[in-house]
Amino acid sequence: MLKSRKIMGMACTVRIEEPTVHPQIFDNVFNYWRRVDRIFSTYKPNSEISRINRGELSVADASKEVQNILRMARETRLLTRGYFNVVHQGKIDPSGLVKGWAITGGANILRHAGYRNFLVEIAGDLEVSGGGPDGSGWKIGLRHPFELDKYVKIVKLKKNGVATSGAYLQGDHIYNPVANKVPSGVASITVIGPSAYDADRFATAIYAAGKKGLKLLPGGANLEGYLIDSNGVATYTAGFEKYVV
Amino acid sequence: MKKLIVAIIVGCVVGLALFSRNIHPVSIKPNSSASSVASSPTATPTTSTPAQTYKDGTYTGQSADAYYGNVQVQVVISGGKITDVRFLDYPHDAGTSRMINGQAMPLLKQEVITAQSGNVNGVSGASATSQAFYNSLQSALSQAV
Repeated sequence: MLKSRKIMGMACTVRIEEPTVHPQIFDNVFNYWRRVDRIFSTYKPNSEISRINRGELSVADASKEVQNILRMARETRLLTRGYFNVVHQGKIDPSGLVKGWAITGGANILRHAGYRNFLVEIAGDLEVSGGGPDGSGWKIGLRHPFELDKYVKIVKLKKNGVATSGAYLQGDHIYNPVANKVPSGVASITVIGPSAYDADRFATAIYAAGKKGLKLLPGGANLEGYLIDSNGVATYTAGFEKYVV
Repeated sequence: MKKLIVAIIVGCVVGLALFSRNIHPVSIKPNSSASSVASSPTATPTTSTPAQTYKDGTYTGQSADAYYGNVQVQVVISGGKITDVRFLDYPHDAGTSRMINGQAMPLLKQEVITAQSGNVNGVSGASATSQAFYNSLQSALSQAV
């Protein structure tokens, strides 16, 4: 059973491959994402993040959710040697962290409800659990950065998050906070990790760091990366191969 | 020296692969919004649009900023339908060395990417590359109506 909604301006999908699915579970996830959007959207003038950025709300007085995200952002900045930074030109933009966190949060809602075989997606980043429709794993295509109806790889995942960062037209969504400039040379970076939260934050940091960003992946953390440069040459971690179909 | 030769060979292969690229016809209906076209197979927003055909000819889209370079496409209309979409420009930086420091990253491998198709349950991808592609495509198609 699959349902899609447009939330946060993005295509959001929940797919559950089990014999019995209570339809209400889909709305539980979608409503959770709508709540996330109300708190964290930098586009909504009344979101907490917008009010903090206008100086109307102090971080100390913000909700537990905001404090939690900012704590995770600090931790991620340290983990990625500064290449992940939600503070840009004095404004907080946590979107590089919130998306993956929201996907994992949606997946946790499904887990707590007892579901074990599902796929959760927000606009090209996903978390999967279980064997998928045929029981062998969820087959995920990694979009070819130059031939958009093709894939560069098809990977099979059973308990993972996968996130891809690429050339963002919106400009300031991802930048290199260490060199204070926009990244270059990377067409796309896909990270497969234990959760969408981990995959997304490391994909964001690696994209900001540029071609050598794969070095940021910590060993032993079940994080693998596939980076495609603008010449169509891929650099990838050796452990990535185990997922490739 | 060995590394340099490998780099030159890789460069030639990549160059050939890129310059001979010719994207296959894509199914884009007139009036369809960029977001519905760019969405992944798992999410299928459907919009019913009245039938419309384009005028035959070859149209060049504006160069759209893909942030790390420009994307420019040319679209060929034949029999009122899109029969080909060509990349006139895409991000590349041929002057940059493709060598990486093997000492610092012993667990990394390299390959030239290939394009493949197949049945999948989901797609992971960045939306912005496709956005630049569709922006250029839309501007080409706007000349064909």
